[in-house]
Amino acid sequence: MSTPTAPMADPRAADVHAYILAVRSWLGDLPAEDVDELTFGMEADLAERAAEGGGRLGEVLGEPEEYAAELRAAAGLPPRATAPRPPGHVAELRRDLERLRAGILERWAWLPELRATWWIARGFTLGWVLLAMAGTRHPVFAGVVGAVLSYGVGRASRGWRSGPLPGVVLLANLVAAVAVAPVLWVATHPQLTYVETESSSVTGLARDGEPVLDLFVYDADGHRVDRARILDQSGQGVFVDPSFFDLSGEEVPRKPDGSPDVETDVFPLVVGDQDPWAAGEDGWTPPLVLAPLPVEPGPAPTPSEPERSAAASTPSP
Amino acid sequence: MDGTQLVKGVLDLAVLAVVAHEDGYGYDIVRRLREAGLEEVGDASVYGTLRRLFAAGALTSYVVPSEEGPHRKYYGINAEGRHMLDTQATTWKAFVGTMDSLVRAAEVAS
Repeated sequence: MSTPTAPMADPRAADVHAYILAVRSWLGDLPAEDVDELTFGMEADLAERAAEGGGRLGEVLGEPEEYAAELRAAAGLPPRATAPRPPGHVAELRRDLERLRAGILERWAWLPELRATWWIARGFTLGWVLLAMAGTRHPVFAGVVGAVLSYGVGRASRGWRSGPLPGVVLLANLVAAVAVAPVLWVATHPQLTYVETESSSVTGLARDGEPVLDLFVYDADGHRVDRARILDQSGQGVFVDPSFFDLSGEEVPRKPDGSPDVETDVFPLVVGDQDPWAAGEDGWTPPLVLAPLPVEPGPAPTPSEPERSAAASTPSP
Repeated sequence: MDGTQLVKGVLDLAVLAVVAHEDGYGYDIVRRLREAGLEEVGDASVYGTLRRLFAAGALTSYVVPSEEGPHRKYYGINAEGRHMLDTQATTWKAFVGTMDSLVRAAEVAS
């Protein structure tokens, strides 16, 4: 009795698988059990056939359509009346991938030897990416766990060729293939750390996180104050962010070194010879006067002081 | 004359004869037919014939599991198959005898 031969190398197995799929599609109008009966054992037989060489199975045995027709005729089954429904895009893509895979493996037969390495790299990458996306600062651990799991899946999944799970594995492989180089680069360059930066912070004066571009100061009587300087609680002068002048389209006088020639801590800002109290970009014009503040009840003024306070409240010329 | 057409007419007998000698799986039977000289026999024709003979009750089939690769389907002959083989062999021999004398007579005449 002849003994079964050893399983075939991968490129041929892919060719065999694609060939049987195509033959089955040409038998697709028959009852499922007939199709199964006709094609059961075919994989082992065709693998053996392919191993004897002679190129692609389609060249050795005839294209799947002819093969299926001959099979039907010899088995006494009716010939196929219509062409099989064209395979869906997914099936077509899968067949193309199988062919590509078969072609690659035929050319570089040693590639399967690297599978274990690939499983580990794939698992490390996916573990890393998933946990990094989840915000973990130390995804290396996840990468190691992923590598171990992926190695297990890789070993267990040898021979899976159909069903939904290989689709998931294929997707995971694609993601890993895209991400593996950057992830491994980052992982092997530990000095690269992510520093959270406040990208919305402004260096100058701000209100609710938005930069303040100018200030208009009015005194207690509601009159405009020119060339006002304002200090904060620690004696630091308040200023607007000068970089804003680089962003705005305004014509701004420049110093010889290119920086804006504007005193950013004197309000309202005087830009060139423009009226500092003119309407701004959003159309708002600072009012000429504000309603004077109500007179503070405060401590009763001494007889000698009223004149001095009155003089102080007068705007300087 | 196209040998392929001749083979098709007697493929049942050829397959039964090969399987009667020893059980085998599809491609093994194809190979043994070719080694015997039926080089033009098509793989799919043999598989189809095996399936038809099995459906007709002339063959038994069993699966031989493989730990490393896909399982194999073996065919063996049964009593019905041996009866079919005997009948077809008798018909074949008579046919060959008839054809032989026809051809020989033609050769003598020419």
